[in-house]
Amino acid sequence: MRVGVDLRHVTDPVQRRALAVEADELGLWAVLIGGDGPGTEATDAARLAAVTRDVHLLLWFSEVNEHPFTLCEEATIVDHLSHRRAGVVVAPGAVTPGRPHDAAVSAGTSVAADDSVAGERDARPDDSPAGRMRRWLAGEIINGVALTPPPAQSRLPVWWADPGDGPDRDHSRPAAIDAGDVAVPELQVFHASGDLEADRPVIDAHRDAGWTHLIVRWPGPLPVLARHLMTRAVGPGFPDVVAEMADRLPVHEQD
Amino acid sequence: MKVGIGLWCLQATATAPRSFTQAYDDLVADAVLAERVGLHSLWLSEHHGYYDGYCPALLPAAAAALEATSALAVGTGVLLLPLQDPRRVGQAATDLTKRSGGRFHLGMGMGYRPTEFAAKEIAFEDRVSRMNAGLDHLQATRPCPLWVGVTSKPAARRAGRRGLGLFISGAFSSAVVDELVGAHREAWEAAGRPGDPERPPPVGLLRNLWLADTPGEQRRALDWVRSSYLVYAGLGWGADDTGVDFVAQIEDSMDEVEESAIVGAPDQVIDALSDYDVDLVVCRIGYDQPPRSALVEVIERIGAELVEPLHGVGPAGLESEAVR
Repeated sequence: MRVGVDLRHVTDPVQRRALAVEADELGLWAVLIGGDGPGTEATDAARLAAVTRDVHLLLWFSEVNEHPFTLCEEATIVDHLSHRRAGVVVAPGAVTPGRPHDAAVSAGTSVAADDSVAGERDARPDDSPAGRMRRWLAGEIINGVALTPPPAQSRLPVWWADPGDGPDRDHSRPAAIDAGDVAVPELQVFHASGDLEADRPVIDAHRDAGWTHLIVRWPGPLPVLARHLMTRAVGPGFPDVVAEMADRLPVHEQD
Repeated sequence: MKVGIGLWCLQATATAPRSFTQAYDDLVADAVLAERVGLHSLWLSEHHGYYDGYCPALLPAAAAALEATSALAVGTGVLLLPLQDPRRVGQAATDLTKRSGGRFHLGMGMGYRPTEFAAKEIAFEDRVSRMNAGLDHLQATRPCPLWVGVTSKPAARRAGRRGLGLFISGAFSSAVVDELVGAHREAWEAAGRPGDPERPPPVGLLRNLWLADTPGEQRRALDWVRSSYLVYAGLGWGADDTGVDFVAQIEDSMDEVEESAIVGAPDQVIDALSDYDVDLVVCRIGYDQPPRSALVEVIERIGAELVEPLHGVGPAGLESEAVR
């Protein structure tokens, strides 16, 4: 399981940029951005693309008034600017008024299977706004409309955000499993406490339940997240003693 | 008269296929170069769903160019406002303005390709009302300097009545440009001088242009200008109901574009530009055919050989707008 960090709540753009750079240097998988509101997701990502190298840039679209094709266009430009590092997270309820919308889909509980994950394609194309975003960003032409330029990635990943995005969520049973053993690429944000004793079991539960990616809202220094939680998320058998002893090693400033 | 360059469309055309990602890398490099040689601005252009990847989302592209620079202005010439939610555009423009120290300029146009409206499930017939509603919103919030792209006198009057900058995008003679500027100015006066009553809103002129000293170099540049029109003819061929027969008119259109292009040695170009009563000239050099070395060279030459001589030419209304 790969771990990213939620930066939506970081309102100071200078601090957000510094944290994105730090996340990049620490090897965290992704940063989730878009907290400044509709319209700023892609502009913020474009700026962060310039100062980071490896970390993925996840655009949190909580939009309710824009057409999904427009959101895809913004994401694909960020993908080129970032050299294949863009991703999209569609918030629950993010739809375009007046257009077809399946509430269950936006709630992330019965989405069409993504063949990149499940290995087979749902026979019924998902025509919800968010579903069409996934299809366009995978290269599909919908009703004669193609996304150009196509993303730099073979298919730009789209996740439905988990509506149970909060500290009370039962992390041991991902909704993807509830949906019927289909590996729905739902993405969840775990609001960590910063207390490692309390947070470790939650990370383990996600990992062992088959989650492939997890976003953590982390209240402390990012190096602690990277050392103690990102490492244990990779697979079972993480030796806690190594991380704990590493905390006690003398730190020498680099020249 | 300020000097900028345009239009960066980030395409991979049939004439000159290339990597899209490379195009975006080049955009950032070109912005850095433009700043280094003292240009005022770099301008981007938008279309949707075209085979060549013509940039469909200008605001993240502008963010990248602004992030890489510290003095260069970056503008949209133009963003197709009826195709987007103006509140969202306004929020992005505010973000770009705040984070760049006021270097973002928002030029807006209406769009003319029905296929682009269809892709976003917007009725083509609604484009005027959507444009006006969008301008109403952006005028009320004023996130940055606002320009309206025009090719006709009625459109110039509409921009003038609102007190918005005029971005003249057609390949017009100086006489036609004077008419548009005059219509814009008269409408601004008649409306009670909205905006800064002491200064009329600025006028920007997009002009096909290249610096070339010898007849052979000039011919080559004119061929690039002609071939670039294929991009726009193709956009028209791909659209229904524009009322223009692009196929039948291609040679005539190319001749017109060539005739209106300003290609020559620096003194010739300066003389030609001095005929225009505008605040900003955007040298249209973003063609798809020139090799990268030629593009870099002409950006350097524009900075070295046009910026200073053109300083003080024209009304300089841009000063008040840009520093706002």
